[in-house]
Amino acid sequence: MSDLSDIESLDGGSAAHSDVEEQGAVDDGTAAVSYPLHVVYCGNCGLPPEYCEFDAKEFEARCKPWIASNCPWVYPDLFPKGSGGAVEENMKQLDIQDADGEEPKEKPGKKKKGDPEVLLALSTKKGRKSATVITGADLFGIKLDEAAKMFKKRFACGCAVTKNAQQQDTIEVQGDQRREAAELLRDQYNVPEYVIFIMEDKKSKVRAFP
Amino acid sequence: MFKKFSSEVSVSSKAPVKSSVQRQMRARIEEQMPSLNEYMDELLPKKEKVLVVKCEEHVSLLCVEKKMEPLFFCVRDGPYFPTLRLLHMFPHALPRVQVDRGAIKHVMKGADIMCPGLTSPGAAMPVELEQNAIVAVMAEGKQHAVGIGRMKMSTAQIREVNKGVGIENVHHLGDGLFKTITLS
Repeated sequence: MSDLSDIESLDGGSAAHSDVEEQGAVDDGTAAVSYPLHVVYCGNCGLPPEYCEFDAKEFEARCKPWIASNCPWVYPDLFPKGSGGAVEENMKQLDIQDADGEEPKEKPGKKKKGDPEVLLALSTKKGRKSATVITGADLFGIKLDEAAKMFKKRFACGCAVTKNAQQQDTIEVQGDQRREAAELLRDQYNVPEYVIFIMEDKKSKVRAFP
Repeated sequence: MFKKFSSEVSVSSKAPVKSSVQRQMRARIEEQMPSLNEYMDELLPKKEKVLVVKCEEHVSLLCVEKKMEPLFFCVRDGPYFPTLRLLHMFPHALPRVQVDRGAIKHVMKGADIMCPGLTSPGAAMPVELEQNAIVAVMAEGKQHAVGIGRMKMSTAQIREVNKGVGIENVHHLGDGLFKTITLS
């Protein structure tokens, strides 16, 4: 069974780091060391850098460059100590790899998920009543509560800012106002036509202005 | 426990506690983690408002109103656990056990710690611990804790049985609570 001081001595840390840790191990933090310790977390994944290696994909692509520039001492094998030039070179290489490798990866991902759009859907309420739910308007710099007020006046109906199942803020207008609201968003708030979509029924999404 | 935790979805209410309750909680924490005593004034200052944030599954988090960083958590009226970020700052707050390298990736996915991972050459259990004790789970060759767990068996039992779950994984690196830096 190994002593716990092994844990600390195994870390190939920088002078400052190992200092603090060794003392901590010797007198178990009763004196000399100032707590709280300052812990560095990886700028990419948020874990302590020594644990980055356990997410292989992310590590190669993103954590590695961050570690190289911020705390290369955590991985003495990857970034040998005392060879500052080598580290820099490593980084350069990584940067180049990044530029090559990342772009094609990121773009399709972004299109699928992050492209902002305004979606107008109809949700059924009690009985034969319905409401129009507008999602994503806030992504175009529209203040939702102000917009809701405007909708109230314009359509002479109830309107409020509510949260949907995904915890996004949405505008809910009473009644089926999908077309009218789409036009209003375009004319009054200058939301580009091509980002406004209407849900015709549960599944089919159509452009509001084809 | 906190695998799917997120501050938007899991939190059901936040409320400041009475100062008398605050004193009680502080006393309980000091009793459980005596090594934190001298830092308690920094962590939960007497004059600051302490919030109890109630979450799913009867979990409540403690934090100071100004900073809103989760510091401790407990389940129902159970013992208080420090959060991992707090444990990283005060590594001596809990007794430690060490798992071998092969166990790390599973612990980081939320798996309970199996006995063989605690008895193999890379692992260590330097202190004798009782069942239900709260421990910091360290990892072979790593400086910081990988998780916080509760002993399902005593250390003696773990050595003897050497099979099955030895420590329940309560909170681990990369889980929802770890990713929640502030609760605002």
